[in-house]
Amino acid sequence: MNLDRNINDILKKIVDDYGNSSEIVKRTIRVGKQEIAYIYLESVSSDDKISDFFMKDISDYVKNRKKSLFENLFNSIENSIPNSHLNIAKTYEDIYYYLSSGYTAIFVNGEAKGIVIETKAGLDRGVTEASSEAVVRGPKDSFTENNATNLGLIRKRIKDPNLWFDETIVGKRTKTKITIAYIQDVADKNRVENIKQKLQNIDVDGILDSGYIREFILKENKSSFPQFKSTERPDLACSSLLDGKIIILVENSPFVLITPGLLVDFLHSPEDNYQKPVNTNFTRLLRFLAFIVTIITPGFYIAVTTFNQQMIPNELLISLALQREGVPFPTAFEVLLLIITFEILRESDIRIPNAMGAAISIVGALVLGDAAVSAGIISPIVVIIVAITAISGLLYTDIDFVNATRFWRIIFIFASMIAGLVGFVIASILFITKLCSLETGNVPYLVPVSPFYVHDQSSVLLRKSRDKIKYRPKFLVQKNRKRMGGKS
Amino acid sequence: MKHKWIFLIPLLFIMTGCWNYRELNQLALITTMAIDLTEEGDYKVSVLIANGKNNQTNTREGQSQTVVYSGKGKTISRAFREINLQIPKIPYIGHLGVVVVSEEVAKEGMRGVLDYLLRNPESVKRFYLIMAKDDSAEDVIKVLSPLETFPGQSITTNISLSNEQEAISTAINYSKFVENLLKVGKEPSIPTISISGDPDKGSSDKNLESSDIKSKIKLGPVALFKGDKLVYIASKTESRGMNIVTNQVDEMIIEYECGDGNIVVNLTGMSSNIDVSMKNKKLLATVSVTSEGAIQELTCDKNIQKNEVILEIEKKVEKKVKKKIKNAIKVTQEHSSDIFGVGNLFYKKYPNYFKNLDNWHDKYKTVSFDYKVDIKLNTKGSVQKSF
Repeated sequence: MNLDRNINDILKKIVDDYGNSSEIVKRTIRVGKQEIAYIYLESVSSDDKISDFFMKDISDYVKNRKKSLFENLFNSIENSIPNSHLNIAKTYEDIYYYLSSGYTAIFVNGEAKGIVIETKAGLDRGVTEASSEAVVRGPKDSFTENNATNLGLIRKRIKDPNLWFDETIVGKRTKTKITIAYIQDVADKNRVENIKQKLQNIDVDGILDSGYIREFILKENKSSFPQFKSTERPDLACSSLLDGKIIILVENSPFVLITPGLLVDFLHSPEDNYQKPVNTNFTRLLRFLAFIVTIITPGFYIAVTTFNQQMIPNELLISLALQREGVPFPTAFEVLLLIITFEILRESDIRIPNAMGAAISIVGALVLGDAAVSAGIISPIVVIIVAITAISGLLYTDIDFVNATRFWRIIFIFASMIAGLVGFVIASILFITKLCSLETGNVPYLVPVSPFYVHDQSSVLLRKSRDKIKYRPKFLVQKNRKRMGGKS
Repeated sequence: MKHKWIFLIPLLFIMTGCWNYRELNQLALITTMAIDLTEEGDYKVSVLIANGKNNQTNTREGQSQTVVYSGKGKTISRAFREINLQIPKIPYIGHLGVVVVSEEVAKEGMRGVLDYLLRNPESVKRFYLIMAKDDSAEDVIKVLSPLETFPGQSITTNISLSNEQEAISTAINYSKFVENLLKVGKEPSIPTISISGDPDKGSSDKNLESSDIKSKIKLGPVALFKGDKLVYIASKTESRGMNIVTNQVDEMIIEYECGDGNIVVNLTGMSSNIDVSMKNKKLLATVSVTSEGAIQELTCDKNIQKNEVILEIEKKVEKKVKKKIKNAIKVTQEHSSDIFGVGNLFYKKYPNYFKNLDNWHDKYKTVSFDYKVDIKLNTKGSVQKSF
């Protein structure tokens, strides 16, 4: 709806449309024979900025009373306001978007358009240390809720003009800015187009976090494993960009999405690139091992102790049998009981205020460990099994990934419970088949391990020294694959 | 068909039979088994169960008490059923480590014992087979050892270590025994075990309480078989010789007197080989043994810095070893128990001539043996002369 010409009509409509909200600040000023009005929402705007950029100038006009000025007041204001974020809005919808974003709208009586200048209040926290992906050695900054800051954190790392930010506004009511970032001459064009298309097709009232976006883009996929890596680390985002991946930043979300997110990406840590390769490789192997351990251990334990006892060494079997003496429940139930207790503890530990955390951990350690064993409800070995499983599962930073391992762990437990090692093998086949059949952004999920690409192994299972990684991965990038020498 | 998974629900009821589902504490873990023959000619089977509950200590610390149950019957199966009636758990022989048979059973023939254990799908065919000498098999498995938690375990480790160190007994596991029994031109042999001390005191906890153990088990020499029947129990020296020929000795010592003292040579890295040949229908087998040696003890006056002296010692040791082998082979020929598999070697080399080794037992006696022993002394120890 186009703006009215009369400033009083305009102001009245805006106030009405905002339901007479208390946050509206408006004022009408006479400048010579003309009237101008400005309006802003004090909740999202900064009074200081308004005074600096706008009020000072207006008061100068009023004092000087230069005649030439008044003849075309609208243009004079437009050209003289010392603010680089200045736009002309012609419809009420635009005005509302700007007002809600912290802009101030200025109207001159008789003109059916308004000037909007940026006067945002600093509602964001500053750049803080990454809390969910801590590193010992490496950059410490993290993304925030502020879109411009997030883009800045990337831009200051990659100063190439070929790094393009492509903005789309999604959400009928929230009008959230979504930015696709990619290096124009490296990233796959089709993939970028595809994501852009999908973003534009999103029809929803609101987007509050990048988690929403993920589900809209992967509508048909029901796998428990995440196919977008989400990170709050700008350095990880930038290294993905350099690999030829695409990043989706969502306003008000400190977690950016990296696509395609492959299985190996979840097993890596950005810190791998900052430490010496020899040491890193050991850590990486540990992480791969822990990935398998956390999924199969409880299932394997159940299969072996309740069906296939032949597999256990003599002394261990006797010791296990003695530990189980007097325990009233079946092994599988014991394991499930403890795993569920652990999951409850983990969830409560995340939700609980920090001050109460200590109490929870004491209760947790006692309940999970000593007391349950002494009471004869569970056998000590099960505590060890669940502890190993739990610790191994917490090696990964992506919470979706951790939860996916939990999902499969339960499947392994049930399979082993019903048919022992046979069930265990069936579950393994299911697990591998499911992983192999997954696809993310037209790339198989297990790439470059399966299908195996010989030339892309430089930083997959083990990492080569940085000066030996000469090419970008082939499955992501078709052109400009060179990282070194010539045009990179 | 949107909800195909609904068909899986009936499967839940059909397939939850939990095939072969057993909780660990329902199992009676049998680690050792003893088979005796009663005076009436029945089998008496005794099993040692490792996971008995120990009342005195906290079971969670892995301490256990072992219990021996026994049952009698015309067949092994019947005797086992007797045991089943006494145990409130499921007997589980998947972790059987040692089977001790008595001398009577071995003389009667091992067939009954072998078949039961081979047919049972649960048993792992890698347990050691051993024969109780002088005492009943049941008494042997009852002896408690202070160094190992479970009696069965002490026998197992004892066997597997002894042939490396002492060269008297050899570790023969079940599948090896059956293999030797079934092989053409080869006979099985098993080590023996006996109790030194009072067998009755060995089974009580008191045996573990004092540092001077009243009763202990001791590995003995090799028992020779002809077919599945025991024919002869070799002496210690004969056993050593046999084990040299069967290439099962890693280390052994040879000692002899010289002047007013002794020389002890430790032989390491021993290897032996049998070569067979046939000339004018005469059977000839050549046993060649090579080994390295080190002087371990020297209490007589000899200057071992001289090369001639070393050569002299080597000669002497070679002669000793040769004598051991000769004696051992002679004994096996006397009892026509070809535990070295000489017949098998002939059979492989001259398959046409030995189309059927029907009466190999008799022919084995006619084989003439030749011996080649080569010993090299490399190390003289860290002391040059005796003092």
